[in-house]
Formats: sequence, structure tokens, C-alpha cells
Amino acid sequence: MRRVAYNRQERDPDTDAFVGIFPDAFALRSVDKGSLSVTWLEYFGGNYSSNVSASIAVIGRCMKGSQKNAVFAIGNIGEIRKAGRARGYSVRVIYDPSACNFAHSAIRQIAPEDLEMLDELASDIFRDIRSVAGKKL
Amino acid sequence: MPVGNSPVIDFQTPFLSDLSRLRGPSPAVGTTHLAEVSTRPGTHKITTQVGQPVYSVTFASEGNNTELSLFQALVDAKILTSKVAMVIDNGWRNSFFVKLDKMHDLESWDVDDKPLAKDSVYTFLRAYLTWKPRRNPALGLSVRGNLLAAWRDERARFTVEMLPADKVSYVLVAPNSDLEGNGESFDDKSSGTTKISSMQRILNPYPLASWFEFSEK
Repeated sequence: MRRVAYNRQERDPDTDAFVGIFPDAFALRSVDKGSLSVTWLEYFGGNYSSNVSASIAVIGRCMKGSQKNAVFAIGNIGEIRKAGRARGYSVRVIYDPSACNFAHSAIRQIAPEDLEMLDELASDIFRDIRSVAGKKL
Repeated sequence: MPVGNSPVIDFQTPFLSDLSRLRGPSPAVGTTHLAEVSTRPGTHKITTQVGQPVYSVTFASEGNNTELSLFQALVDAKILTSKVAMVIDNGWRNSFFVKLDKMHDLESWDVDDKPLAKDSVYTFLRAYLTWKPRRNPALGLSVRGNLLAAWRDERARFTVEMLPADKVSYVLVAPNSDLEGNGESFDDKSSGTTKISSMQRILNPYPLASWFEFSEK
């Protein structure tokens, strides 16, 4: 699961309703140090729904600032690796717990300069989008 | 018409809406001193020459405050947009300003993000006036502080990052119509960096080119 801030969400220009995610939601910032932060759902050991809720809760606890208008995108690791392989990248997903988020994981070698890869992540792989309340969007 | 050649600026809408978000005395429009704002960590002065063709507002303050840098980015973007007020629809401009406000909402701002860069707004306005989109794009902010614009329908999408100096990076996905008769489906994908003026040539082979009118060169 990856948290997507309001500014990386495509919103309807008239209604501001959620439409999708910008590819840039998977771009790396200098503070990211080469890896994309995600939360490993299965770490929590419950069913899918409760894992989603637990992940959103732990992200909210660890993030600086409010979760207002943020959404949470869920993708499958196998699909991420497959998309990377198809484009010639050896994407690595590493369990990387932090003091705050014991389910924190890192996606590395994701080729952040490859716009088509980022677009595929945003539109085809991270398809299950949840509101801060865990509701499917 | 090139952006930025007009001496006409409508200061009042962007300034008053922004100043109302800050603490301090109400601004006296028409004077050079608009407001003295008491915010963390100290006192900051906002000065401008209303009615004069002066296009920048500077905080006379020390230190780097997120609230002020967001405010500065908003003011810069709105002033720049107001410079082309005569060639853009008022309704569009107002909704653009509302979107900019939401994008820079302090409450949901991630401190590691970069506020909108003025150069990117300039490119966006140039692109908007050149491409003449038939419907407005979804807007966002990239990790580099550049404006993102996206258009999509059920089957195609076109996403652009507005880079400085009239450049854009884009990614588009469109169904390949050659295969449709065979019952197969395949999406064409394309991405790259180009100049605003070259985008029409790149989009022309795709049906999504009809999303834009494109001004005559």
C-alpha cells in the first residue's frame, strides 16, 4: 500500500471527485533515497479488509501532517516485478521496518525516470484505491 | 498571443483571497503596503504596488517557513495567471485559483514536497493557450514542484508535466485501432520530453488529438 497525497491524485476539474492517480505518485524525491516507501499489508496477518485498515492506521500514525484528502493505493508485488522485468528492470521489494511502521517495505530499482513504467504503476497495478476511512474508491 | 505581454493585471482577486488566509490587518487595496502579517516565527511584510505593472511580491523576512513559501508560490502563480486575464475565461481562472489553493493547503501539505514553481505555471499557461484543450485537465503537483495536467477518457489518457522553459514531459496511452477488428486489444504507449509547440505533431496520429483544438502557429 502506498499513500498518495492530494497533489498526486487526478481529480475531476469540475467536481474535484477522485478520478485516478498521477504517475508522479511513484516518482522518487531526494528524501526517498532511491526507494519507494510502501506498507506490506500481509504483515498484519488478518483478512484483506482488516489488513487495509491496519495499514492505513499505521501510515496515518507515522506520517507528518494530516491525512486529509490522501488516498491509499494497493498493488501486487508480483505484478510490480513482472512490469519491471518486461521493461528490463530488476525491481526489488524489501521488507524494511521502521521504528514507527513495522510493516514498512521499500521498492527499489523502479526506474523513476521511466514515465511509462510510472504510468503503468499508477493506472494498471495500484488499482485498488482506498479512502482514509478504508472505503474503496 | 504570447503569454506575459500584457500590462493589465487584476491583482484584487488573488491578493484578497490569499491575504484573508493570513492573520493581520485587512489590506488597503490601492496602497503600496498591503499587509503586515504576524506569523511564525516573526513578522513579515508583504508589499506591492497595486495597479502598477510590478509582478512580484516579496516577504521581507528571514528564515524558511512552510506557510510563507506556500503563500509565495500561490501569489506568484496567481499574479502570473492574472497577466493573461484578458485571454482566459474568468470562470476557468477562478477554478484554477481554487485548485491552486487546495494544492497548497497547509493542513495536508507534505513538508518534503516542493511548492509550485513559477516557471512551470508559465509553461502551463503557454501550453493551455497553444493547445486549446476542449475540456479542462485534472491538475496536480509533481515531486519537482511542477504542475501536472491530465486528460483521460475510458480508454485513453494523456499526462503532462509542465517543465520550465516551454518544455513538457508527457506520457500517453491510447488504444491501437488497427487491431480492433481482430478482437485483440493493444494499447499504444508513448512518452518523452518535448517543446509545447511540438506536442500537436506528436499527438496527431492518436484519436486523443481531438481533445485539443490547437491554435494556429
